[in-house]
Amino acid sequence: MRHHVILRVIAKLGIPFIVLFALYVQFHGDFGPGGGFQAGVIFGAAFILYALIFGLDNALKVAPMNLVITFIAVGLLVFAGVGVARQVSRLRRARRQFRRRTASRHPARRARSRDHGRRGHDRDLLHLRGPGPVAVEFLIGHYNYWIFIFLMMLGFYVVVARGNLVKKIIGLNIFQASVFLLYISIGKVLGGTAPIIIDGGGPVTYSNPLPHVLILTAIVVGVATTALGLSLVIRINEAYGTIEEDEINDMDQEP
Amino acid sequence: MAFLVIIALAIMRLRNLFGVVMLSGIYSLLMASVFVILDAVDVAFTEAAVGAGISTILMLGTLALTTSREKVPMHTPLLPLVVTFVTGAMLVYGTWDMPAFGDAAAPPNQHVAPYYLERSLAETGVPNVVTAVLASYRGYDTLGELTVIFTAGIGVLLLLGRRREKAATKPEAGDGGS
Repeated sequence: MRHHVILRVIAKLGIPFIVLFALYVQFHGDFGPGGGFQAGVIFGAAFILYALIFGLDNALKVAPMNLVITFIAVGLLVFAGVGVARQVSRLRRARRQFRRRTASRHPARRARSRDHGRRGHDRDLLHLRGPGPVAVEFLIGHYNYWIFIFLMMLGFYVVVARGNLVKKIIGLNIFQASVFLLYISIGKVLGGTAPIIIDGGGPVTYSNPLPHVLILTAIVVGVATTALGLSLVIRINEAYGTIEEDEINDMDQEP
Repeated sequence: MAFLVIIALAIMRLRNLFGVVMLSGIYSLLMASVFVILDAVDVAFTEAAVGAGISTILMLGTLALTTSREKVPMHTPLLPLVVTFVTGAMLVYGTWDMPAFGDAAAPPNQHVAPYYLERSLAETGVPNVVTAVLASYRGYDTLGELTVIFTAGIGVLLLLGRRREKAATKPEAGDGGS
């Protein structure tokens, strides 16, 4: 691809913007969708694009292997280090504030218990409605689960029945994706909006942010395992010359 | 969502792995749009970047290094089919007890989520609740996640890095022989 002028020019023009967008996502993550992971991925995509267009050797000149390895380790240490430093400072501050806080705690606790009572009331209402569910209502309320189960079983089937290792990994991804969808759909509240707090403007219903967080983590872990699986596939292909499970089994039986 | 099912079916049927990888990229992008509809903008962003972007590139890289044709499996897929159907039926049976879609009073929406929604702005000063929970309340999860990525990165480097060294030394050995 080194000789395609259009590709090279457009990539040269585009990569700075990709990097800029990544930085924007990184530092704007507090206020809108986005954050460190997405920014990192976009950043990485810029590098991969560079490597694709200008060749791996040039990309390695920009980001040498040792630097990459060091960055991986440093990144983890920085994250852990921030946590440790925060805990240490919090412990110190907590000790200082302990006495001051005990005086002001009681009103807050009362407010929380009042909240709890209201929530309990909602739950009672649900139970009253529970015993006689209309069939159509039930269908509309649950068909999403069935779609996810269908997708999940499709992925499961691909993993079990297909012999090709790459296909198996894709099946695993479909399986995973159905679980993501399940979690996110559980967190959806009808009439709700994305959980980004809007200043002022009365009471707003937000969807549940917790599944979003869990799935965010799961997606990133998922791509990490995919990468590991694919590199295993490459190694297997080198060792056996095939990525079909049946042929690998046959080869293992022969000697 | 019907599109998702259709594409998943196509992925299963198709034997040209290049097409399969492209379809899985589209699948991820569709999933991202479903996430937007379900109010999960952060997740949609991640899915679009990670699922549709990086995964597809990784898969393509693998295909470039291996082969892009899938062979017809030799054994009949009867047993997997039965296993799949039984598992699926059990899961469908499990959904009878699930809360209806979009129910604000469902147990998952009543546990700690209201606390996060009410307090996170005051406690962390971050309007995006997902970011606040990810980085502050559940920071240990994220630390564990980074550890997983770290481990995966080391694994990939170990698996593929050695190969490159071997490939680099091989031509030299060939030169010495000639």
